[in-house]
Amino acid sequence: MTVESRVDKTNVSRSEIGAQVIDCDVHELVLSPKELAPYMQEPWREWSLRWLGPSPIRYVHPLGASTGTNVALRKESETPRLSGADLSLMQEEILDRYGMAHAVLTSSFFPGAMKVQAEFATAAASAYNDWVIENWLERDPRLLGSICVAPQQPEQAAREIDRVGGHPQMVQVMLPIIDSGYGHPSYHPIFAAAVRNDVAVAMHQTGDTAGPNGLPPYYAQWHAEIPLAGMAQVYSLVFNGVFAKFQELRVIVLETGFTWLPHLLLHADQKYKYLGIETPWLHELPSNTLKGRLRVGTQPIEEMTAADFNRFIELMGSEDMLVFCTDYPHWDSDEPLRALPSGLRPELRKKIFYENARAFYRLP
Amino acid sequence: MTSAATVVRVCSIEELGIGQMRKFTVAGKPVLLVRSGDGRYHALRSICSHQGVDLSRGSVTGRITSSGVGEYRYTADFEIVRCGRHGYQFDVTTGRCLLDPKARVKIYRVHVEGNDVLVEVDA
Repeated sequence: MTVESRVDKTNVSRSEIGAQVIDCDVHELVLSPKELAPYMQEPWREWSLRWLGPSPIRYVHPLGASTGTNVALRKESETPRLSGADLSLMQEEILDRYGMAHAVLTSSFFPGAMKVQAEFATAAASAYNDWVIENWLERDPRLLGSICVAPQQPEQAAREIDRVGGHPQMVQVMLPIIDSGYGHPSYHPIFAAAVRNDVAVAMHQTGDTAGPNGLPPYYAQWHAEIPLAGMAQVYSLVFNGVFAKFQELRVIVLETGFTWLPHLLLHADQKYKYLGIETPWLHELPSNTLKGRLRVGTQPIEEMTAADFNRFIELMGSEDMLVFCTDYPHWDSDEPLRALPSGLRPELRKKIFYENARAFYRLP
Repeated sequence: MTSAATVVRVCSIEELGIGQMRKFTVAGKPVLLVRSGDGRYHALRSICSHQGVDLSRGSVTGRITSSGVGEYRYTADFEIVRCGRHGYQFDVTTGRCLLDPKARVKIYRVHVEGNDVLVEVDA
């Protein structure tokens, strides 16, 4: 067995990053659905023992990264520890190493993407929430949580948000990016519950997230098209009046990169100016709404110079919309020290690494 | 009337019905005369501030409002001129664009004297 440590024990000082860090996309992994069985009631508990899990990635990964989990072995004699499935390893690899103030757990468990057996999906989501509270949130106060729901059953999802939304470390509801637009009125109970519980709504891809032409033939193309699916969900919320109806709603889109954002802001405004008679429930330019209430994770960030990065910020017309994400422990996760280009203004780095997320999640 | 203004008779009051519009050239300026739902006359520069399209090729329309998602209310006040190209809508009473806070068209004073409609433009 090859023994190669991927854990660099040297912690990184805050001055090297230039800011405190809140990592807004950290995946803790449910390795097997059976882990959730103790948190489920019958008849679903029995089902969970036979379950293969929700929304597997459909592709053979070209680089061999299955779910992106890295195996970290320091000694051949050690039991393998899996990044994302081991709190102490997560602490070593990111929380302690970068002195993170917080990491927002986003899981990779999306029963909300299931197209069948909605009742079971609801039960699985609820079990996950109890599992993550007991095994992760209550074991490290730096961790913040995402409420798993099954939007297939919006009323039940709202009740689940009411059930666990009061947990002090739960900061958002997680909605998988699916092929149904969340702007549809049937999903309103979920947004109402999020507002009622003062938590944000996050959106994240799953293995089932498809581009505009469905699942493309190659993984690279699928990966390239994921931002389009995220954009479509933002448009859905805007034009269907979700932001207009729920004035306190805060939304964050994760793991789609961010360079699409200037385009979306301009594009949405243009459609509003041209075609606003069709959506008279919108009372301001979409870009105004989104600058105040939409946040987007940086990862996976494209390589660019500081000058290029600043142009994107300028085109957005806001320094408040981006929040830093590693996407730990996935294969394309971003390195806090190197992901953002060097030479950015210190104030901007502080906003992206810390202040924007602190304000968005209403942290002290 | 301002001292540097030019006042020109453009038509009689019978020539423009409710909800109608008509373009005139007044002191060399393209002016769109509009009669709103309350019978008043309004004049505005007949050039869309968006991409310069002639507004007289568009339409006079009512106002669409909403009290909530999926609800439409149409008020036939005919105080809106809609550009025939991209749909920019201008309030004829103010010249402001309904959906683009940066866009507006110039409006002109209108006088009704007897049966005559007169438009006042800057010299």
